[in-house]
Amino acid sequence: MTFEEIKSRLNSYKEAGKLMFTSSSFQSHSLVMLHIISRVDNTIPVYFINTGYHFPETIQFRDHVTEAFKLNTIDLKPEVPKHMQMDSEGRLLFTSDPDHCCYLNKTQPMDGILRSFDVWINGVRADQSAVRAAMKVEQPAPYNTVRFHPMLDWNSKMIWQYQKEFNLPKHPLEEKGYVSIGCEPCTRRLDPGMQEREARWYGLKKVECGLHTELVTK
Amino acid sequence: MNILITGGAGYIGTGLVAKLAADDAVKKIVLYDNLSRPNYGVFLGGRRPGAEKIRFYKGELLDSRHLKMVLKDIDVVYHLAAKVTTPFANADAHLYEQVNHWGTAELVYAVEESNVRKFIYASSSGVYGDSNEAVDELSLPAPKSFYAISKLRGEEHVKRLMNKRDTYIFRCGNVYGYNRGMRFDAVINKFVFEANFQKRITVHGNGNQSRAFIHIDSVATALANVLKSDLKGGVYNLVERNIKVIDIVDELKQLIPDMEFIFINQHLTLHELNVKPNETVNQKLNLGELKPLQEELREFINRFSF
Ligand code: SF4
Repeated sequence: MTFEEIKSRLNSYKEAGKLMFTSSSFQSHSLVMLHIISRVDNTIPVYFINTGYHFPETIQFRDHVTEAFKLNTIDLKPEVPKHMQMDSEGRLLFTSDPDHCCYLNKTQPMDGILRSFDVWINGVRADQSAVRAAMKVEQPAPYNTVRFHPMLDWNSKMIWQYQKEFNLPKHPLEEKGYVSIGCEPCTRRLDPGMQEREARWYGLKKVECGLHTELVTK
Repeated sequence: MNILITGGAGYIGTGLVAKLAADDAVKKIVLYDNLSRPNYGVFLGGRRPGAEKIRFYKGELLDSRHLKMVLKDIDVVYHLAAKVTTPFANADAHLYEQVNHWGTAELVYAVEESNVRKFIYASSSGVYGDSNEAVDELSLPAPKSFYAISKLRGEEHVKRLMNKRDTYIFRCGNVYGYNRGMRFDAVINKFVFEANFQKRITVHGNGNQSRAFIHIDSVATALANVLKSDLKGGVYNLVERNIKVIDIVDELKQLIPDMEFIFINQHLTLHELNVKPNETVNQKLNLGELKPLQEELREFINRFSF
């Protein structure tokens, strides 16, 4: 979708009285959608899923981008305190059951937000994973909501061009060799010869955090 | 002024609370501690001056809900809680990360949502790793142990607060000296105990390794004086002197002449770390004249009951 197409879609949701929100992980490539949204309507709430396991650099970057784009960013924290997120060995859940960890720290908090809106503007791209490739631009989601995927047909080249055109800032860890940045425990700096997908949950079959598998109606 | 001390029942906390309770500007002191090292020294010894200001909450650093509640009317946070290194223990790296890294992150998030004005974090000079040349604050950290790595990670989260609150990170040397909450696994304390009661000290390595030290009373004084001094927020070393392990043995030998010392593995050259005492900081925080080590050791020995 082009900027104009996205803009008119957002405006038509607005005219129909739909409540919209978006969520962002504040990686460099996610900034394109945030920037587009800020050009259309910067009052749309941007939920940052603060799992508590982010790199400090990510939090700083979030604050920087929020200011630069004048975004309405909201920190979304898990309900379940970390000391209740231990496994039988006394370790935090990401060491043994990342699906459960993602559920408590990402999916469950987002589930609560979804209930109070109509449209979730979500930046997934088809070229990111098989799960995402199977998605549609508008996709039904739980609680009678709609996921709107404006970036679905964007590829890395388009992202790069937009970043360049608007001189968008870069996540500070990128120049240190991180390609995909999520929670620190599950993010790995790639060694030579590793694939991009291996930057997250390296060694596991897991490729998604549940946001795009559980909070969607197929 | 209301103060919260995480790890308030620990070694440094026990020293700090005594100083703060005596300060008229301090209205309330909350000790937040999970008592993971079963050390009850801070609770004992009869009522102290300012006792009515002190409260205790048994709680976990990773309990964000509880933290939020106790931070409600707090102005100043001292973050001392940590999983501390025990020499030669082959512990699970994750446990250090869990407490020192993620626990600190949780606390910082909770502080961001509170009215806390000042945040003081006790880090460790261990973050520098090894160095024969004395390091200063400009030296690059290169932590070697699980403990030191996790403390440095904690620092990174604390640094996020720097442009929002008065934030201090103190990289403390090895702490030694008597107080009721003391630990006997720290090198000088262990030596003094063994010298006094067993008349034989156990030395690791060849004894030539030197380390950076600070007396427990000095740490407590320095931390308490942050509230009054004009020291600006920042990252500082908190160290009084560097001593070779063998020199500590020497001083003790002079005090207890019939004491012996035994080397467990004297062919080993152990890592050493020298840290330049930051005179400006020590002066601003009112640490006063450094006593000769032997005098300190004598006073220490005099605190034993026999
Ligand atoms: S990405 Fe890792 S640390 Fe983050 S919520 Fe999922 S399992 Fe937990």
